[in-house]
Amino acid sequence: MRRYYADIVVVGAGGAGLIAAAEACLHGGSVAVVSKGKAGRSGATVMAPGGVAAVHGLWSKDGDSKRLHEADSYHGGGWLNDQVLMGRVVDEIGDVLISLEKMGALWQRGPDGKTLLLKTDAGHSHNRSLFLEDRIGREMMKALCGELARRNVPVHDEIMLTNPVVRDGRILGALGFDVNTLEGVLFESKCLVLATGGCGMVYSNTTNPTDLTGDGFLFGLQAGARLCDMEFVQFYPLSMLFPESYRGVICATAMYSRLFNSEGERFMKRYDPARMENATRDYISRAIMHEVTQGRGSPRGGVFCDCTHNESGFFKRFLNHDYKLQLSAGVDMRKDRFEVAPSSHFMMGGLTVDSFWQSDVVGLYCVGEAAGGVHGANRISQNALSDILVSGVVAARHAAQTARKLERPFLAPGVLTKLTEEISSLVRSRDGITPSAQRAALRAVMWEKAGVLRSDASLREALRRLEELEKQPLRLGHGGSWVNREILHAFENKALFATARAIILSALARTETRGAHYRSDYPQTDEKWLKNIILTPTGGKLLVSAEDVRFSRMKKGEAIC
Amino acid sequence: MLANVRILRFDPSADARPYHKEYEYRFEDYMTVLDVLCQLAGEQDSSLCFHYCCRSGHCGLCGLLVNGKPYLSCHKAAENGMTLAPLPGFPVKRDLMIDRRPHEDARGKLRLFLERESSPDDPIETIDMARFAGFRQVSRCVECLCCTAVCPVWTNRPHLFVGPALLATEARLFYDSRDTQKRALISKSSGLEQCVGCGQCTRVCPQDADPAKAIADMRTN
Ligand SMILES: Cc1cc2nc3c(=O)[nH]c(=O)nc-3n(C[C@H](O)[C@H](O)[C@H](O)COP(=O)(O)OP(=O)(O)OC[C@H]3O[C@@H](n4cnc5c(N)ncnc54)[C@H](O)[C@@H]3O)c2cc1C
Repeated sequence: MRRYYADIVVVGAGGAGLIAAAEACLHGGSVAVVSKGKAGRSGATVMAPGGVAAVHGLWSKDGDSKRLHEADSYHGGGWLNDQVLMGRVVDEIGDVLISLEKMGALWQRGPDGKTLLLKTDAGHSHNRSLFLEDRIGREMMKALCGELARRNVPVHDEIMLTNPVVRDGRILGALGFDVNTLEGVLFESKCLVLATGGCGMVYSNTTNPTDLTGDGFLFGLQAGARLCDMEFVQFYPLSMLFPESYRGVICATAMYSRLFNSEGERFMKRYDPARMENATRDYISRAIMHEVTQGRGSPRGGVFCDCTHNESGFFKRFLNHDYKLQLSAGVDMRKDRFEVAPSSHFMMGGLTVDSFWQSDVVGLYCVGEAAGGVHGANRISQNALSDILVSGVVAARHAAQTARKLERPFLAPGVLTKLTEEISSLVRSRDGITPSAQRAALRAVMWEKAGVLRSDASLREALRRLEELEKQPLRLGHGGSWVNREILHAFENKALFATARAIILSALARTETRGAHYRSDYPQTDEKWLKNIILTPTGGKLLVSAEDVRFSRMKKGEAIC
Repeated sequence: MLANVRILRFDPSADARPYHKEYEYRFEDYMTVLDVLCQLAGEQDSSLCFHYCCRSGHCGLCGLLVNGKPYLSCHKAAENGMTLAPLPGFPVKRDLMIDRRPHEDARGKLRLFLERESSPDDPIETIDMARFAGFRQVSRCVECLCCTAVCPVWTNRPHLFVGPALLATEARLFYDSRDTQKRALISKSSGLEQCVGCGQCTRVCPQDADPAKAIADMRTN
């Protein structure tokens, strides 16, 4: 076994985790990062191409304001956002981006070398996003990895954390295993910052990297923390369907595309005649899945996308990445139509946190995509990166204070026994289905029954099928304990099951349509539902309840200036 | 249609030496090398080991040799009869997965973070736009190590030359007009002057980061 201590242990090496670690260093005490994937090469942050939304006196123009940014976010979020959290994000993101530049990042500038360039995307009333080429996320990660190197923060990568250690409502540490050696690893800490990202892998189609399996949600539930808003999964409308490894990868931009069904009809005119393909992500995703379920889909379960009306030269300027990607799948976007389908992109829900991103468990913080509440029923574009950076900074600052008040915990190494025994028995399992078959089946059930379109019947069917699937024993192929990826997958599958169940239970409870959640049996938005659905772990089960939204900063319909 | 692939396999905890293994796989149009590996691991041989995370060129983990040339397996079209091997020159963790630790350890002495005497009060600093072009280009690097794996200098003298991937990473700071650390000097200690300028690194770069140009720029300052 291996055993580590730090006052603050950060779990996850995406943007939220790394900025939390960098910030925690500034407030005294020891800090360590632990991550399932390689730091800077895992998680969603490094993939983000677009931008990061931020209003700041030094660069915002055209009458833009923090209030407007906030209002746009609530409008997009179906007014379910936790306003205290969203307010913090909007208020602080500008300063955080300035300090990220001081660490080593650079945002795109005009020819004078000083004016920051701004762009926009769906949901924003003004140009307010900073960017760098088409890889804002990679730039952030480079700066943050540099900062942690400067501060000598130990980064224990390729360790998957699986279980929290909690006593009397306080976190004392966490257990996990080295994904290369399968050795048990024990972390003791005064505070733990969960930054494990989202759960795109719960659906067959996803834009997410393969390590985002909802681990933080299961970890939090085991610690006794609640989940909120889990019914709200954002689907990006236009992603690839083949080759298999590209399934779900973003491949086109709706506003430059025309969408056709198998009968050659430009079907958006039936769903949103005014906006057509300029409609929001949720509308387009739904329209596509309606066409598919009504038998007017493309051979692989999507619809056809046509970009040929764009002038030549356009592809090089605006769609260079998409163009090259399609070319590798044998599609020339200048001439050909190609198949597209929605893809699970972002989890609005997550662990319930207070105004400092602390969960129900003392010392357990939860930041970035793993936390719920900030984005309400739907996230507007380029707000995720704003959220992960601010939540990381705020939580780390508060955790440093909390840590000063707490005693250093000591755990007997015996706490690891159960986990290491589970690993050894898994290595020897020889009867049943493989972890990869189990995962494929789970993802298919979720895609078909609890994805873009949901109903009471489909959700119940999903629950039933998942229950059966989870009962089947596992069969592992090769039994070795050196770099056995199947063990990693088997543990990730547990988190996928817990996440899937949380999504389904919440989706069943919300008998309306709002934001990214669409119920075909309740297609209207219902004002009664200005509530957040909360899941509380009790005796191995999840208790479903609903809490009214608090409009502490802004009311629906309020004039913003 | 069925196709063949030959894979260089090695489990250091069980095998004396690497060996080739032949597989047949279901060929589908436009499948990538990564598709082939996922299909084999899922359907035929779950012990087959390879590394990837994002599936679309950002994580830099899936580099390998296809018929002797380095590629990201997520971006390389599969071919019938291809041979796959891990990137050469690095220790092999298992099968096609290399151990990145030596590369990561070497980062330390390169001081890969912005360094300067003092940080100006101005929250948004004016930067030299000519250098910014270089900064942007090398910043595309995802450290997939394809370039280092083919570099003849690194291959023959790994203790004298740190390799193009790390030098490109260093060049990011060299091009940053705010940085006052002596980047050319640091690079010199890492073997900058050993580079023979063959340009192999730039030719195999899947991100168009042009390490050869970055190295040449650092040499002429
Ligand atoms: C393709 C794509 C494009 C996007 N583009 C944009 C954009 O342009 N603008 C925008 O604002 N947002 C964008 N988003 C959303 C945004 O990138 C993510 O929401 C955000 O990066 C999440 O950051 P994070 O730090 O919370 O998690 P991540 O960056 O996903 O990191 C999670 C980390 O946790 C680790 N981890 C997971 N489980 C465990 C475990 N059990 N133990 C230890 N470690 C674990 C992972 O290995 C990883 O290191 C995009 C998302 C995707 C997928």
